[in-house]
Amino acid sequence: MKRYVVYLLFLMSVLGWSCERLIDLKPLDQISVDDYWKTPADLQNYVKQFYQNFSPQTQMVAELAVNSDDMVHGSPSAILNGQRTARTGSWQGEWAAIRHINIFFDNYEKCEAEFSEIRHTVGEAHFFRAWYYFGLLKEYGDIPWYTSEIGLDDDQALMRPRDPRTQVADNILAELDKAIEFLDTRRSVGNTRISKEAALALKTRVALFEGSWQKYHANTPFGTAGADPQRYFQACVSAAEELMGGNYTRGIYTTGNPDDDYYRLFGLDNMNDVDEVLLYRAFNRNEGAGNAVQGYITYDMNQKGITWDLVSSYLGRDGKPYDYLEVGQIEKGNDFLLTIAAECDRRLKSTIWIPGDLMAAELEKYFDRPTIDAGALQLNPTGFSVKKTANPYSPAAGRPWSVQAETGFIILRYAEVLLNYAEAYYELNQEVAYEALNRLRERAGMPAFEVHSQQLNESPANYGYEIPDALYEIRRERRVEMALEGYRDEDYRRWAAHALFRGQRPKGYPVSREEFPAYSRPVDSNGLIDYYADELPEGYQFQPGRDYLSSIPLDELTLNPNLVPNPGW
Amino acid sequence: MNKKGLIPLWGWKIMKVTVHQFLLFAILYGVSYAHETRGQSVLEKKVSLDVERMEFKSVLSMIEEQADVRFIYSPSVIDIWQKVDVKATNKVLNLVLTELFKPHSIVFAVSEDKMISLKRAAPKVGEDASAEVPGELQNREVRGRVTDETGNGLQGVSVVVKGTQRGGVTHADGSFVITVPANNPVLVFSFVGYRTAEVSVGRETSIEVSMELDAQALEELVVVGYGTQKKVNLTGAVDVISGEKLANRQAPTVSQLLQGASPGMNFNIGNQDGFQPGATMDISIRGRGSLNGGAPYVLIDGIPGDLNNLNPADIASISILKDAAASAIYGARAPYGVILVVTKSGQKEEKISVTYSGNVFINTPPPLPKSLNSYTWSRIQNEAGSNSGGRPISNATIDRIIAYQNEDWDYLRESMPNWPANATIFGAFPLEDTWDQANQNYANNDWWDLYYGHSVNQKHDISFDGGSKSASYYFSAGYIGQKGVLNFGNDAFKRLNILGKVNFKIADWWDFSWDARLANKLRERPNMTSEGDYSFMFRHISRSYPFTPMYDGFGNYTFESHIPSITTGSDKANDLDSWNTFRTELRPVKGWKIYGDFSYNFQKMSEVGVEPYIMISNLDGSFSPNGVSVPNSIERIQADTRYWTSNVYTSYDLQLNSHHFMLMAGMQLEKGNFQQLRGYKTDLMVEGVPSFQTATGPALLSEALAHNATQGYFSRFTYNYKDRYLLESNARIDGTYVFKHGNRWGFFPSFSLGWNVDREPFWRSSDGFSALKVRASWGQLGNQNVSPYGDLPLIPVHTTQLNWIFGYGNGRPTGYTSAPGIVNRNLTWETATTSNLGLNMAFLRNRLLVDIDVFERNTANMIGPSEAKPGVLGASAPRYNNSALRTRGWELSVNWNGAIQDEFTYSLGVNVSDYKSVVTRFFNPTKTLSTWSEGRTVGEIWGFTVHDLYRSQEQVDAHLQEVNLSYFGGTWRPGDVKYEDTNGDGVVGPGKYTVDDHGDMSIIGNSEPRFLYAFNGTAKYKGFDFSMFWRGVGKKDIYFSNFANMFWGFNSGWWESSLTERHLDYFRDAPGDKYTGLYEGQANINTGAYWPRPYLNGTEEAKNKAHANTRYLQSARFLRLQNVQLGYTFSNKLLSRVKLQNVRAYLSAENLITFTSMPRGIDPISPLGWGPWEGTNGTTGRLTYGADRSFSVGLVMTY
Repeated sequence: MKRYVVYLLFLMSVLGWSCERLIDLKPLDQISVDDYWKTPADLQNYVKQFYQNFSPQTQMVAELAVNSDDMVHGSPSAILNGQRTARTGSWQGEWAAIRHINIFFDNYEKCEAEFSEIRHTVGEAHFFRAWYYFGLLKEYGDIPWYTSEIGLDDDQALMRPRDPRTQVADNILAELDKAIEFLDTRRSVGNTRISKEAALALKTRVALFEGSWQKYHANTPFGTAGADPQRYFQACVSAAEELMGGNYTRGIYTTGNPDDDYYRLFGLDNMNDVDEVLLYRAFNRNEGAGNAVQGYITYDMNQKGITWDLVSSYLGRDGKPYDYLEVGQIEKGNDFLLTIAAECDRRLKSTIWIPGDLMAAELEKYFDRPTIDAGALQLNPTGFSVKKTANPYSPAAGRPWSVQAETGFIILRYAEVLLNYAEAYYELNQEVAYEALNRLRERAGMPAFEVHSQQLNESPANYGYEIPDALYEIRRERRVEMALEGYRDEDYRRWAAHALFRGQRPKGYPVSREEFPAYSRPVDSNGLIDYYADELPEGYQFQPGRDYLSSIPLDELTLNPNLVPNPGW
Repeated sequence: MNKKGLIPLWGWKIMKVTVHQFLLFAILYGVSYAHETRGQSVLEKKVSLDVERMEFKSVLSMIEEQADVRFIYSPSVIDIWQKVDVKATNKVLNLVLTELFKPHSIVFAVSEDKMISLKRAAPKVGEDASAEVPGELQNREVRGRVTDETGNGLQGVSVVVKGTQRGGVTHADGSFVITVPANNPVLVFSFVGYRTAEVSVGRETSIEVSMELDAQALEELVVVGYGTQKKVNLTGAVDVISGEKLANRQAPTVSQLLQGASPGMNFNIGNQDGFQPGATMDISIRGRGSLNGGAPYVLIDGIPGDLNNLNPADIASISILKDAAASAIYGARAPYGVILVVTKSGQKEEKISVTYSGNVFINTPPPLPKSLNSYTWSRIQNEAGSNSGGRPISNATIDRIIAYQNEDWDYLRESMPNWPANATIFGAFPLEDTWDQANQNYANNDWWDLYYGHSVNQKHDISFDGGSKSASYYFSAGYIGQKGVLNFGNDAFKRLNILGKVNFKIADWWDFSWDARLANKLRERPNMTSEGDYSFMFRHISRSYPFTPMYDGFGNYTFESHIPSITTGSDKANDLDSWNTFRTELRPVKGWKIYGDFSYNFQKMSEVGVEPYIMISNLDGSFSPNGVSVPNSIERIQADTRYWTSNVYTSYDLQLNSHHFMLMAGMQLEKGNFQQLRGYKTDLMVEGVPSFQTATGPALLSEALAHNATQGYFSRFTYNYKDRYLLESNARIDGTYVFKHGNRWGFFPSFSLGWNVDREPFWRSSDGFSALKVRASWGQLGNQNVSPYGDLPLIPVHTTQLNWIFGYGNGRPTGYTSAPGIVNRNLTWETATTSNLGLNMAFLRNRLLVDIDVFERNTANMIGPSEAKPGVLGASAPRYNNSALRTRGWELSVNWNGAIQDEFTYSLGVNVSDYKSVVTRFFNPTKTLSTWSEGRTVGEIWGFTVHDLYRSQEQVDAHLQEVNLSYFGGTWRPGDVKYEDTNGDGVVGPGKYTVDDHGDMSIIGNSEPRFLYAFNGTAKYKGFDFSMFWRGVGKKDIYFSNFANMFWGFNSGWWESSLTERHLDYFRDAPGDKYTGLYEGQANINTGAYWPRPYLNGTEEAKNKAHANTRYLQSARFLRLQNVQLGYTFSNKLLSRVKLQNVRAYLSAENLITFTSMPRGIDPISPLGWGPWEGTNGTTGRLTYGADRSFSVGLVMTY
């Protein structure tokens, strides 16, 4: 009998499990899409993801200038030298942010809260959508525009041809208008988050970019049917005027010390209360979020050197063109640097190291002379060493990159808005917005803005086409004020100005044989360092019919036959 | 080790069918000799036979057919190959059998169901009286002759007096003379290929012994899924590895020990840390089953478990189930093979036996590359820098390097204005307040030599086993401690294993047992204190510049030496894996069994990473923490897994005349829960007491939770006609939590057939061809080994800190969400269908065994890598069941057991296997090469054709006249790689990078291993034994990515280069000077170089190296002496004094020799390293831990 009891127990245990309940398991630490989007916090947490990497990932301002005629790096820029090859692979990664933002727009209306509670978050989302599309526009020109998540099987959307860039630019500006409408002002959200001011500033940037692109690329392979540059210049001017005139937090950073103000601005750790900084990235060493800026500016030069071309575009302190070459015939090396520091626009000595400059207060380290003869990391190839963004009082100053700094990284500043305004205003009205430009001049202790004849310059910049003297000066002011901040490559592209560097080699300073008797790099007939003499015998080989836009990856052209390759690729 | 006794009742054990087992078999059938009643009538049946010199086997078969009876016997009772004569016409069976068996000392008994069991006749009463031995019989001589089954004398048979070392071997005619003691001596006769015979001498002075062929190989019981099967009756592809093959070796994990043990198994180091201490290997059986990977299903005593948590000394045997027929009973668990491990057990009615084994082993690194001296290194870096990127090493530094090598200390002191007055050791360059100047140092070091040393390690195992009438037990404990071979840092692995097994007989029809198994693993490794992780350490070592000093001016380790980073702080991981299993078996009526088990597993993983300050000395002699280590921190991860599983099944055996049927059905359930908690805090107040309590920084906390469950129902049917015709069929229905309702259940059937040709009446056995079996099978299996919820859109929640700070002075906010991936709501099983054909052959009296298997596996509904969709989608397309893969392959194993006169026996084994996988279905309409497409072979390496470098500017110009090379780059110089325009269209490039338009690309190699092979050999002479074991891969290609500096030497930056002697043959076309080039003047010119012109510029380097090409494609084939062992077993005479049964001492070496064309420092099995290491490109940025050479001295003692 006993054994049958045992058998029975066995049988019962088997039957007890014969259902699917055991294997019907839900994830324990992830949220289903359908359960999300309910509260304003859900939306906020979702939008936070975009802060992670929307701004340039580099923590060095100077790094952003390596693909421009402002900078010489270890080896010639592949873009300026026309060396890029057609991209293989996919551009999916570049569209990921677009998809993520579109998912937000597909779902945010499910939130049960009042719109006023989510208004700012929606504004941030519009800002980011504009930001990411602007990135694609600059890189590829015409791109297909999507406003909601693309279904996997939505072949119509997937196989869309490219929308003309005018339409894309209009859409970006419309996104920014929404952002401006919804976003809170900087007063309530600060300048490390997206604000109404930031959106207005971005709008001036986008509108100016597109306006000048349409104007200067007209009748080239990069031109667009239906181009209407004036409309964009107008949009730029209006956005700037709104920011300049409205009840906003913005200004030009100054403590009344023209020698120092411009320099100090970029080395600040805390920019929270700097009116000029409309949006920046703050750092915190103790939180494991520091940057390497000071190491690369005050410890070694990381193979970066500023070009003669940039240096020689600073005006003399009298506000007149300055003949650098003439000075360079007499003064060499440190003497040259000391002379131009004393005689030229103060923004120059705020941008390049001058012998005797304090580099690190704690270590009592002073700038001695450029490291043009040093090995790789210490090397400065041109003799003009990057100083902008240095802060000798940072605990990281004078120490290797591994000692983290907290120097803030500026993403949008008011000075740019003024410059955008001045340029767009001139393009629109052929009139100079003196007031805006003079605010920048004042800070630097420079005389008021005036228009000179281009011919006063020893060797005037050649844009490849004639421009009025006023515009020439406005562009010069822009280059000087925004030096190394990462906009020079955008500028030459929107201006279609490859003539600035094509067929030429970037030069350095007049090297002093007394200071560097063993200096072995080539110098040109004027005694200027000719760092790329061997590598660029014919100068930069930028291909004007091709290099203004990047190639669409080959796989994409195969997968979507409706995509037309960019010109020249 | 040869434990005979009762079969554990549910038969987990493999063993020969012995007399005991036969008895047990009889008991199982409810038979006892005392009840021979009804069955007797069978013996009255009349039979007619007239045969001459026919094998016993066939004679018995004939009788079985005529009299409708069945004989049951152990091969040790009867030699089935022996030839006999029988003449009987219509004679009563009883008489026929008596006449037949009497001369062979066999008696028979009949059971109720017409079964006639055979056993040896008991010794006669008179012979038993030997207990009282007359004095004159002491130490007398016994003569005799040993014959084989045909009556011919056997030469070389070992004859030993049992319990002594006394003995000899037989002469050419089989005769022998031996002196035996009194006290009823027993002689033991042994010879390879024959069953060992024991003969009681009694009072005889002359003995005739006939040796029986050993049919053991075929009669072995093999563990298969949910049961056992006689090897002879197997229809699936199953290979058995005995535990002895793994015993007494010093590799730390079972997966390393299994390398080469069975054909068709491939082994790979699965992560970038190479053969780190305690390294485990990824095993695949019969190649890649799915493009999604998939490992074999491992069961330990019938319960899923981790192979690498086992103590190799506890393993009795391992069955490898290779085809679908063998593994179909595991359904969706086991698409790509099953590994069944059986641990050792005690035997009932066996005296306690205690075994201790221990060894000490010394590990040394595989051959290391040799670094260049710092002067050469700097000059050639400058030459590369002159080509592009700028000279990295200044002349002043080179002058100091020269001075250092000339020991010109005065020069050095004067050349460094900052040199502290009290500093005495040169090599480091002082600047500002620190010593660490990456490229201004001037020492001269070979960092591989400085870092790599040796380690001394040990391993100990002890076990107890035995049993009483109703219970048996086995207890064991094992310990292994292994350290890495680096001279700095704590890099160690320790494992403790405990296993206890007890088995009770509650009633004749009811058994019960309990197993408890525990493994505790400890792994400590340097964490590089925020500089990077463990693998980064190797990257540092491999790219350390020779001029980097070990010491600063005061004799402290420099930061750049990375020694402070390696020795400061470590990660300690402690894994506890504990299993408790209950099993029971009931036998309600004859032939019916009910089995059930329940197993509970608790796994606890705790990891603590402490990153203290790396203290570095300053120029003023003070110490301060290096920036990377600020703030100091502690991280703790606690995870535990709770898992239970239960198997219940029942089987019924039915014998109808010569037809044997078996039916089995059952179910398996399992459920697991996982939780992990991770905490992190900075700012340790007291580094000596690292804990959350003593850390004052902000705390970070995160957790991970998961659970899983599956259930399955299975059944098996087998049919067997006289062991001649075999049929087996399995079916399983599986359900899993991984998929959604509606897609989560799958049905998996299998069928297999076998034909033992040698059991046919027509088979005439001969010495040459002794056995033949043909097998065929077909079956389907599912693969649920895909990540769960792939069909559910989820919002990922990131509990980590945002990388953005909202306002200066604030902390990083924690927590945000991101976008869901795109999902496929119809995801379901992959199904692998396997067909297998097998041949098992035995030749030369079973001395030569040859096994051949051929298979084809079609994986359908394979979850393909994402379909290529336009990138505007913004996310990877989800995976679909949209592809198929076909793998075809074969396996061959040949084993030979031989003997050469005078106690010298040996064996040789070879196994070879090969397979190839082809994608047979894939959604890729454009056939782009960036993903799979139909017809592509797994492992294909696409590349360009390169025959040569440009040797001169003329060659460059001429080629550029003909072809457009803009795909690769814009500037071309002599020494660059010359890509051939193979299709002659004037453009060298990838075309559209599709299968149809691939430009000048072609398939230049394959990264999958082909022709895997292994050899083993053993030899025994007197007390000595020798074994060796080689394994290798016949073909495998690797193209090293351009980041693989260990291969290429020069890299995009001077700081990423790893330069050795073999990199010196690089292209140089300019004269050198004191500071640049390998040699001064014209001597520097080397335009016939192997390596291209080096650049210190990523773009230029990539132009020459990043595009896979024929010139630099490497072969990763190898042959490795995996293990070689020499042992000596001490004589019993010596041992009996210390009351030991057995003592063996041995020397063993692992990985002693490797033949490979890989450069020194890159292991052919683990060529992975830092960098992007997926795909077909082998990349290594560093020297990983290669397979260490390990030398061991060991001892095994049994009491």
